[in-house]
Amino acid sequence: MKKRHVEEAVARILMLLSFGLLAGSLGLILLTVVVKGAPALTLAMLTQVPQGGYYLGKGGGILNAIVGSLYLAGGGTAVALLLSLPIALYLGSYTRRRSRWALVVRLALDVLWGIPSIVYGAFGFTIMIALGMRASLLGGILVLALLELPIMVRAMDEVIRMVPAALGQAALALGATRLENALHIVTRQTLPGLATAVLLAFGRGIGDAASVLFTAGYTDRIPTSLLQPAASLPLAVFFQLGTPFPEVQQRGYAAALVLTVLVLAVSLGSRWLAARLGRYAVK
Amino acid sequence: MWARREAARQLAADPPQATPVLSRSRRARDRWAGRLFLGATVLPLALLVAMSIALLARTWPILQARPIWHLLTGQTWRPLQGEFGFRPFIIGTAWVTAVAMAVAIPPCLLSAVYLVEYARPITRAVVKPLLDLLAGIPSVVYGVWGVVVVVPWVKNALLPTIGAWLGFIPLFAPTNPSGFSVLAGGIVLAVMVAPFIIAVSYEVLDSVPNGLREASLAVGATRWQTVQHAVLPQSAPGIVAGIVLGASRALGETMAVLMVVGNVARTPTSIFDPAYPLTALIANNYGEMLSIPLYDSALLGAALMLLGIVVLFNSASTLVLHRVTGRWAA
Amino acid sequence: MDAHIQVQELSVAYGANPALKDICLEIPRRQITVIIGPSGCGKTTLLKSFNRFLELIDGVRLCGQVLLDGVDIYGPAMDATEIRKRVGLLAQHPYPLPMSIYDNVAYGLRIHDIGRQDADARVRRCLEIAGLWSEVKDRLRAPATGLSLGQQQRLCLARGLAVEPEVLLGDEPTSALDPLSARHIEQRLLELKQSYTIVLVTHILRQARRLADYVVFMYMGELVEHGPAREVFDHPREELTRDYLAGAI
Repeated sequence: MKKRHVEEAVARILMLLSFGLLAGSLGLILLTVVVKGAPALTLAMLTQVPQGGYYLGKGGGILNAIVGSLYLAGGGTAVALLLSLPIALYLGSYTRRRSRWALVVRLALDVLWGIPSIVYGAFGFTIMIALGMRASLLGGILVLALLELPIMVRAMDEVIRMVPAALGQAALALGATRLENALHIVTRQTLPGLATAVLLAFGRGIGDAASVLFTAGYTDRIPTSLLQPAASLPLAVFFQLGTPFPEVQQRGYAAALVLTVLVLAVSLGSRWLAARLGRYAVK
Repeated sequence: MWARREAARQLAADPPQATPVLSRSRRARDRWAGRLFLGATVLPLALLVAMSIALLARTWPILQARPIWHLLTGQTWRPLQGEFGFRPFIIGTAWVTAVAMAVAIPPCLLSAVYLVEYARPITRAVVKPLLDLLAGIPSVVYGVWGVVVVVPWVKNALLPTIGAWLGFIPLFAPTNPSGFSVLAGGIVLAVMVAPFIIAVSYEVLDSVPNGLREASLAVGATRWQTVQHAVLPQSAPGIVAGIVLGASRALGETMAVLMVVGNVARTPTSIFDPAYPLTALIANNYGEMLSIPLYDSALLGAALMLLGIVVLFNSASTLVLHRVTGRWAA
Repeated sequence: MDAHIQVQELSVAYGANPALKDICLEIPRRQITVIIGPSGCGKTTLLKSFNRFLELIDGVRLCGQVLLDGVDIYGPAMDATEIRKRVGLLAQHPYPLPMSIYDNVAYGLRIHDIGRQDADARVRRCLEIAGLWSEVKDRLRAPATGLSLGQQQRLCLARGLAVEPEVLLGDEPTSALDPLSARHIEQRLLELKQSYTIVLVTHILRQARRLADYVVFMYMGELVEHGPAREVFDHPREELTRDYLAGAI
């Protein structure tokens, strides 16, 4: 067989191996989490907060972390949405194609996107100290909002840019203001994409530990006010795995399983939502 | 003519009012919204500036107290004695990132090439969601996998084999039997950044015009020869930018690497040695930050260092990728 | 007729859309055959069936035979890369490979692992035939992307000739060029027909009249008429042909 055909065959084999490696890794990760976490996943885990001696092996559950994570990510995503939508709409509907400012903003967003979450946490911590705030739900929400902002804007921006220019022009030709065009037409057209962007950011926020480490604190209770510290699932996993007691470590795996299921549910949910909301879009 | 002049005079004296199509309130709302939205777009840049200033301000005390050269190259880290030598952590970060890239780049590039050049549309449709899934898994879950699977694998499978065959080379010396090592961290990080590198490489390869491929195929080249000689050289700048972005993400990872890398503050000399990356340093010690003098400055200085490196890598790569693919990074 | 290529009942469909219907045709050796017809009639599809470029498209279905010197190029034992060595293609848009001018021309030699010893001589000869040698002989190692569009197309011609094909296909090879460069390419093709069988697709009737020895007229995926250029242009048998030549369709 000619040399070049042999090379081609070898290359194909290597490519399929690489593929298999990555697919296998994904499978292995999910398998690990399920196998280690499922045994310790009892109803009590999901419905109770840690009782006394929980970290020594006694009773209770991770409800504090589940609710805390939902509060943190929910609040953070809401704040991020409030800030992201105007930015994305401005970039997409108000600026011309080659606007210099849009370029600068997008570059800044891309750089922000790549900044490690621990730097966000450190920054949040710095500001909180300066303002005299203590580790709390509010602090965690604000830092998560900042962390999610670049992710959300970028995803929204991508969808909004796909709106054909002709659609916007049709609206303006009818006498709509740019605001009306943006709010009524663009958002409706891109609703599935926007929803996906929000859920994407939510999924990122709920899974992040490094940023809430400094800013949200940790507690065994469910916070009842914004100024109280809040537990989070990633930190629950981390702390429980760090104890020397096997029963507690088991619970750590269970918490990891809960977190993974939550994130997968959000991911699948966003696809379903995108499909449902896409009914009004102009193809 | 007289009548016309009269009519014109009357028109000039009392012109008919145009009916306003755009009411004042709609116009005002549009203007205010426009200003508000514009204001919002200042946020990203403002945030970047604020981060840099805030972290710099908090790092300032230690920059005043110690020469920067001592901080960057000092080997000892004893906060209680006021010794802050960052070298082991900087080198630790570099090593883990380098191993992660070495492990990730070949399979990721091959996978991206496969997806763009060889795969059928249905394969692409199945793989894309899988990659998204992999990318969405939280850092701690990767850490769990690392502790349960990777560390034992390094300890029981890689250490005996690589350590035995290649152990005479200092890089592969089987110095640390626990498995919590640079290698374990590198492997976990490699899987973490893989979806990202594949996605960016895919975009870059996809943007190569088909005419170029056909030009090579037309003289009888195989697909692989076309990839080798036409597609890859053409996409080289973009692929490199994607790799730099991937490295930047790897060196910023905290939880996953923290759980598997050993956290020992010594400069590693072998991939089986434990290491202590900058991110782990910050995460592990933030609790004592405020109780030891200059400790908070030092740790926030580490955060500042990370910020600086990442901003540098990311801006350069993003600009290259934008030029290559015509749009912003994936 | 000394037929170099014989097309037998060739039908091609892109998914559910038929592109070529039952084409039976012979392409004469060492002449310039021009395929004409309105856009969408299947000219490019027919052309690309000669060098097995159709298989690069997803969802394409093909039945029938294309014989090159009597052997079906779609036969089970046939290697597409070997076919493409024998049947070269000059595309509408020049795409120089990301390498030097010299390496572009020598590319074919490299991938087929032929002509290593006298590569320099071969490269020079191909560039001379393409009419580019005098303009690039002092900068052979310079990147090919630095050339003008007309020069790039001539480079692509040289690149295609380097592997010594038997047939040279041209898919509207001058439509992206300025008139001067277009004339250059046309002159090269007229010279080349002494040694190569040339098949061109063009939508410019005047170009067809200038170049063609043999004409194939297609309409909506079907072969309407074919024959020596003089006959088809001056005395077309079919009404459709007459309409097209008159500019009505």
